[in-house]
Amino acid sequence: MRALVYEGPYQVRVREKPAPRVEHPDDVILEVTRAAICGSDLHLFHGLVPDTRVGTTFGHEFTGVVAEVGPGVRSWRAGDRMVVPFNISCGTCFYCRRGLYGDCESSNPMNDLASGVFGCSHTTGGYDGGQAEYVRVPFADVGPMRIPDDLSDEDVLLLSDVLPTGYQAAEMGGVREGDTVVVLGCGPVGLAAARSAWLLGASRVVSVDRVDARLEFARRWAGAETIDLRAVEDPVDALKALDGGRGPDVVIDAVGLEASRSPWRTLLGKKLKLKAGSAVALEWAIHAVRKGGTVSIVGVYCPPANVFPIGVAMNKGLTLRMAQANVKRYMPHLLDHIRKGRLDGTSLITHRFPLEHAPHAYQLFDAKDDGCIKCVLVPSARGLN
Amino acid sequence: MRHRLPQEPRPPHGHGTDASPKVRPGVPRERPVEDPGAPWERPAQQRDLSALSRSGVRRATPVFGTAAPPRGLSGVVRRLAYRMPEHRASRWALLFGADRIDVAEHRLSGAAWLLPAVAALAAGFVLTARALRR
Repeated sequence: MRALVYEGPYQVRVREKPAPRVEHPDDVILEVTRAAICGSDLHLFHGLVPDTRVGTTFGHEFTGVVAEVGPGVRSWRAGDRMVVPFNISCGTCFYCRRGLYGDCESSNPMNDLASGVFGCSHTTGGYDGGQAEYVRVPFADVGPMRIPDDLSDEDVLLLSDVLPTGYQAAEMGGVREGDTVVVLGCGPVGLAAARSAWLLGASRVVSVDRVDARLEFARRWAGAETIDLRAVEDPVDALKALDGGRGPDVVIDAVGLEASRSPWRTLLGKKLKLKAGSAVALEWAIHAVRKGGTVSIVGVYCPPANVFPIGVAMNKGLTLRMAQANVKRYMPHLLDHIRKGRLDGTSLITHRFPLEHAPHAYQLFDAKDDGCIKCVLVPSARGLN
Repeated sequence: MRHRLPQEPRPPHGHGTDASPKVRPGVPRERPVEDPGAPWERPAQQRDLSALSRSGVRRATPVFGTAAPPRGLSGVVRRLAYRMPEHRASRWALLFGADRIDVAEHRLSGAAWLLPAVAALAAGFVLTARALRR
């Protein structure tokens, strides 16, 4: 089959590789119809995630048509359409029984950090991802959701990650009516978090970025006020000024380990990789949020360690919430929001490419050129519906 | 399905729909869940464990990925890394190191087709040098 293959930092190609096979009775082999490129894929693309092996296929946001089912699979037949959460979860372990699907302990033997994740580094289980013609989907009866007949694959594609992650970010922020919510980063997840903050009753939502097209998108799509980082000398001062110097009630970090504007963090974390990326956004969030406020982290950070002002957080009495999204838990609720027009993931998709153009799509998404918010790959002819 | 996008910053359609924590799917954070898709007490074990043992991973979960089993010198370093506890920074540093070795090995193997040409050139150079000396 044709698949995107990682060949080193800043190098991906589309090559032939063996098609996946059923390796466990509860596996499904999916013919991929849509596969989005996520900001997390860029962290892998940049070589910032440990144990990212040459030959791995990225992609954890995808939809597809069932091509083959394992002998233990009960609810799927060949030809069924599904959208797949990025976490691989068993449904019965200690964590799944508590609704913490992102912590499933049955799918990642490599460490105790998180559940298995499709198309990531081997730190999350070593699964190939969906930026390919076919992908293996373990525990098919547990995680994936059937795509309703009246909805297209793209209508629900972002239920695989972006919309649940954005919603959970706002939810972890404990947003209450009347709150001022700041979202750092206007990538797809940041935009979804801003939109979700409104759903949760915020009275003011402010998005922060440094890319014109993304700031414009935040105003149009998320109805947010915006702060252009290029126009402010000190981002923390600008954020604190929003509430008369006190600071916002909730700050959501939707940037993660590749934040810019700190030369020493960029050098040590991103270039020399002596620590896990650059935690500038988290540092701003902790300094800017009001005392007793909440910082919600969904931007990705990696092991082993990072430097951030825990002493400030302690003295201000902050609540720090963070997690990989428990995607399955949010899918039905957010599907209802999609149907009722309250959350429209399809509008976030600005670019579509055939799988063969995936390297160009990565370059474009990485450079944030051409107003790119979300790139989607169309791996198979069946995807051209 | 799609609603009109607001032109000015203002709350989009649905403002406050989920204001009550009772309707939020993730509140409380932990709550008992019975998953109808999972009839097992513990899932069946994926049979072929070779990808894990080659990585030096000692714990087998019921399912795991087999995307890129370790190979070459980078594989040796990865196996070494997985022997270390995950709270040690050295484990992660070794994995980063293995990643870079992996890339170097890949590039070298990509240039393997040049070896016969290089060998032929070298042989030609040596033979020519010998002939000229006589």
